[in-house]
Amino acid sequence: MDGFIIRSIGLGVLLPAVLAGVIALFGRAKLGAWAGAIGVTVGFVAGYIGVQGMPPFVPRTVPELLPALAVVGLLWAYVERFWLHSSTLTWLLRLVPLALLELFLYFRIFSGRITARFNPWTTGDIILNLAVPAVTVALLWVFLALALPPAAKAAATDASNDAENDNPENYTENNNAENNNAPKRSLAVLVTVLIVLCSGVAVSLVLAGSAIVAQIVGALTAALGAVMVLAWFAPAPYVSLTAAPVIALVLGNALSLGGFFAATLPWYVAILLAVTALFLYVGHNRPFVMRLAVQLGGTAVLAAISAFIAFRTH
Amino acid sequence: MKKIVATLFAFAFVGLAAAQTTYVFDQPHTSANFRAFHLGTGYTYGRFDEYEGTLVYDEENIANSSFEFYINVESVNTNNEQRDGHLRSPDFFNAAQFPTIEFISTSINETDEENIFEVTGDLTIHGVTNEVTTMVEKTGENTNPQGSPIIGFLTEFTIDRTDYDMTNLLQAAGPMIDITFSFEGIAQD
Repeated sequence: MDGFIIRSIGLGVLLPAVLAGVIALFGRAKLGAWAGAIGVTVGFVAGYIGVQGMPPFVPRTVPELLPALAVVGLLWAYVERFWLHSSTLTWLLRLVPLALLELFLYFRIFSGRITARFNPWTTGDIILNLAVPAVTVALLWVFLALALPPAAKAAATDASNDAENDNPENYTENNNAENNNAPKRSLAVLVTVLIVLCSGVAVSLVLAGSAIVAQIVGALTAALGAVMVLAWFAPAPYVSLTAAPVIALVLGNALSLGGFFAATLPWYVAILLAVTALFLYVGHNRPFVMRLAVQLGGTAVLAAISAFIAFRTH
Repeated sequence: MKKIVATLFAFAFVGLAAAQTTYVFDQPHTSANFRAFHLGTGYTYGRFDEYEGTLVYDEENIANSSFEFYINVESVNTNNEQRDGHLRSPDFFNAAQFPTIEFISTSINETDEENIFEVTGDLTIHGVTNEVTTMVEKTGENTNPQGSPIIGFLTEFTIDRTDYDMTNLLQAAGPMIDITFSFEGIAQD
């Protein structure tokens, strides 16, 4: 098992963290805000390859889907590189293609259960087994939709009165980060909440019985962790947050597909972890310290409860 | 003339069908066991508790025989609930996505040894199908208390689980899995 643990830490944690951090830190000048999304995606996929090997071009299993979804999330982030101007409504409208993608994936992967020789799914099973992942991903997406646009807008307004700052890429290049650390760090709270949430999902998954899916979520957590450190200590607005579509797709699907379906994670734990993302939004208009306490504290408590239930029910 | 030929074919077909007997596996007297080498130290044994299958057996022309066997992956049982849950997870069988293990014979041939048959077929595990050839021993024939003819077979073979894309945690449970499969079939009317 030593090799497994060394590989998990070396290739599953350190590699994604270093890659994500380097790309996000040094890529800011060239890539602007998009460096965060690229850093997290490259770090995560490298971590996946490190612990699982090269995934096939066409995913066949639930774990193999996750790096593919990270790339989809990256493309999504690229298309939305000016997403900070989006409203909550437009974010929510994007649930439609996301829902279609999810339904396609579910049917592709789990159609065998509907016609399985042993214990085929009943109509009730189909409804429950489609509803839980859909609700899980939708909850995560909705909370991101609620939390990110106002937080980013507030930070942009607070950080500078420079009109050019409306363009996140110009903002990154043109502003002196040292002078504007406080509002920029307020964005880091969001990434930190996401990190706690990712960690809660990884711990719940490993306690629910799937070391591999947990290991994969661990790689995502490590990649996001590097970006979080950057968000705190070398802040640049938006860089850390452009990874949101990657996080939503990978984390939501790891939780629902890998967790609920495959790792016997109870459905209510999957929902509880998704609801935990509510703390991305709760208290967003509070003062910095209060927001930090409410959002981090709430996320940590619910994630710990989820992990405890996963442990007790497995 | 056509009628005569058709009648002869019909008789030949009936004769062929009559030589074949279909047996359905008797669950209480069938077992699918496996063992894996744990941490390079000792063997851990397990079994599947739910399965079904049929054997079409032609004693006079064994090549006309065929064999199908289906296992419910969810029924894996290693006498440890937590380990069973882990075996069902994506780390191993990924039972949610691949709920059935199946074997469908493609050829059955006699060998030089009495009651030993060479069975080749497609074994599907974890959604991956590979051709497997194994020696199957007919262990006996009898009549059960209900008066139905019964027949028994036994086979033991080894698979490499990495051939079935089950590549996780190889240090914990080695790649080579020994399988012992014994079944009794009850003749159908």
